[in-house]
Amino acid sequence: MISSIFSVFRYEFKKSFGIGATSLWIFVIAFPTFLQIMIDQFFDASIPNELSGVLLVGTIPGAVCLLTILSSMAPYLNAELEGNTWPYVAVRPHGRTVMMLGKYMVSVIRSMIAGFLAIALVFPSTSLNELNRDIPPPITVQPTTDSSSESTTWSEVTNDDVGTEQVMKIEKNKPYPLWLSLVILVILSSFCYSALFCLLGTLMHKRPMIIAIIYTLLVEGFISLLPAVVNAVTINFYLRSIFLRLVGWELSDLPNDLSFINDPNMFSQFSTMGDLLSLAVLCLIFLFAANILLRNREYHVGETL
Amino acid sequence: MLEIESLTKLYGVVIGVNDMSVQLPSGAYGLLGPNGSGKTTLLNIITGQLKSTVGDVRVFGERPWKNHSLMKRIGFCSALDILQTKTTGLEWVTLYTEMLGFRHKVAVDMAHKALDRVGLSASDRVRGIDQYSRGMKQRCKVAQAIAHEPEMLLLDEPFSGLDPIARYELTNLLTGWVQEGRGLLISSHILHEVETVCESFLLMMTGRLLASGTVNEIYDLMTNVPKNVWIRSPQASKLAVALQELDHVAGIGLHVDQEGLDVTTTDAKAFYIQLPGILREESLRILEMQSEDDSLDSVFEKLMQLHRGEL
Repeated sequence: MISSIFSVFRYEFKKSFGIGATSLWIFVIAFPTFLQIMIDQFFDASIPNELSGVLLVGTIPGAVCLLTILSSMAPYLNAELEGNTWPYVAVRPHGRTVMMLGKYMVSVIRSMIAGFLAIALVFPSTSLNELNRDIPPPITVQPTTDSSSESTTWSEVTNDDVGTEQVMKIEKNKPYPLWLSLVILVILSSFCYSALFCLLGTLMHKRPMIIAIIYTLLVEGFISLLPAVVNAVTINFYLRSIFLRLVGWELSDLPNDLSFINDPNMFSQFSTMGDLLSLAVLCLIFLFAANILLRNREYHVGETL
Repeated sequence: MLEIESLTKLYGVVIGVNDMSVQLPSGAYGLLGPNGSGKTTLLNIITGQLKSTVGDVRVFGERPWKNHSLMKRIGFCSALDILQTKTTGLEWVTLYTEMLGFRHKVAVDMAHKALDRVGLSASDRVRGIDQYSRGMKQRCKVAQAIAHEPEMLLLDEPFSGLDPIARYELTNLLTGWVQEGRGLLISSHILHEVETVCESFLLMMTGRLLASGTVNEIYDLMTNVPKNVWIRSPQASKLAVALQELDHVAGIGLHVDQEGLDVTTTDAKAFYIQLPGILREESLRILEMQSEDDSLDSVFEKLMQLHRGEL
């Protein structure tokens, strides 16, 4: 079965480099760089570093990776059904699962390549390279009583003048450079969004792209930004929490432009490991559910009764 | 090879296959029926793509739905045209061979052999499938079905889109396949090709099995179905009078030239046995006699008329 998955991967990966798809892919990869060049041209250095970082998160894992996955993973089943090749998949041992996982791998790898290339392009060719070298030190360093804790936690800190407020304690000594944080985010989002779109493509195989776009905008876009418990079921919630810890930013330091995320409920209260585990669990749930559906459903391919 | 017991497949309120029972020992079978008769549904159930609503299907004694080990023992070719655009025929056949558990190099060799057998040239097999004619796609589809040398081959309309030479080659290939003792089930509209390859037939209509068996067994089913015989005789009117005495003669029509006679009999066998005696007794002569088409096509048509209550 493993070798069959790699066979599907090899075949689909090669097939994914058509002229049209590759042109679109390159355009998407170049988009963050293009946007950043425009910002450099028109806004000079007035944009806070944090805003630039969030913009990169929005355009690289949030646009480059997401669009790559959207085009490759969401229609994975629909392509087989509309291409009339489903019967040949279905009559192979574990063919349905093999096809799904093979295409999942293609989606993950394509998304990672796109994300890495976008990162490699955006830093050298824009003013962001400076930001990458000079990570701003955290403004407020909260002493932690737990010396063994290197992960991010929420705690109550008393301030005599202001009252009780929540702040985020981050491992202050080793913030990751922005490029590395983005690389990690690209890897995580590639795995997670591919799994999510795999499930959506299985659930709604007749209109997968439309469903995936609507879901992304509604759930990963809107619901994930709600400062409520419901955002914990979105991938975006965990990704941004991990990102914030990796780059060593604090909510209290975020500029006014990012006030919409300046709420502790917008971020996970787990440790980084906890967030990674949550993402892994979400990923596995999505893939498992997609596989169960795929194996048990009957699909009709242009069949006359 | 195949056991089907009270098989019914419903698509909501539409019946795909209706209470079908048949047992097929190893051999070659033609699955015949008009569009919408349930042939594709039946093949899809046999290959484990669909599950039966009621009843049971066993292929080599095993249920096909989610039966992964069984999939290696069967080869399936769908009737639908492949619409792949970014891949070559060789890559396509190789992929489906690899998905059966063969290593890449082995699968490539097997794909080449299968494509050789179906007659897709070396230069054609490395071209994109989007540049293929329908016949070339058909060869490709058959190649993926036979590449792993399965024990049973299920082909849905394999002759569709093939030119006469390709049909001849495919007929030869399938004849050889049957001679090797392997199972074959072909769904087709082109009866004469199926007749060349298969010894037995399943006739389906509106999801039901109308008849099954060898050509002779199916002809035997037709014994009570009225059959037309055309006779030319210089004493046609006298012959008509003599023939109307026979119980099984249901109707006689005399041509205006007084030389032609159309006889409808419900027992053609008895008619052919009794006719020489009548001619001798009445001292009549016939110049020419022709029964209606005895091909499977005509038998099938008769069976369908019978099913519709037209006979």
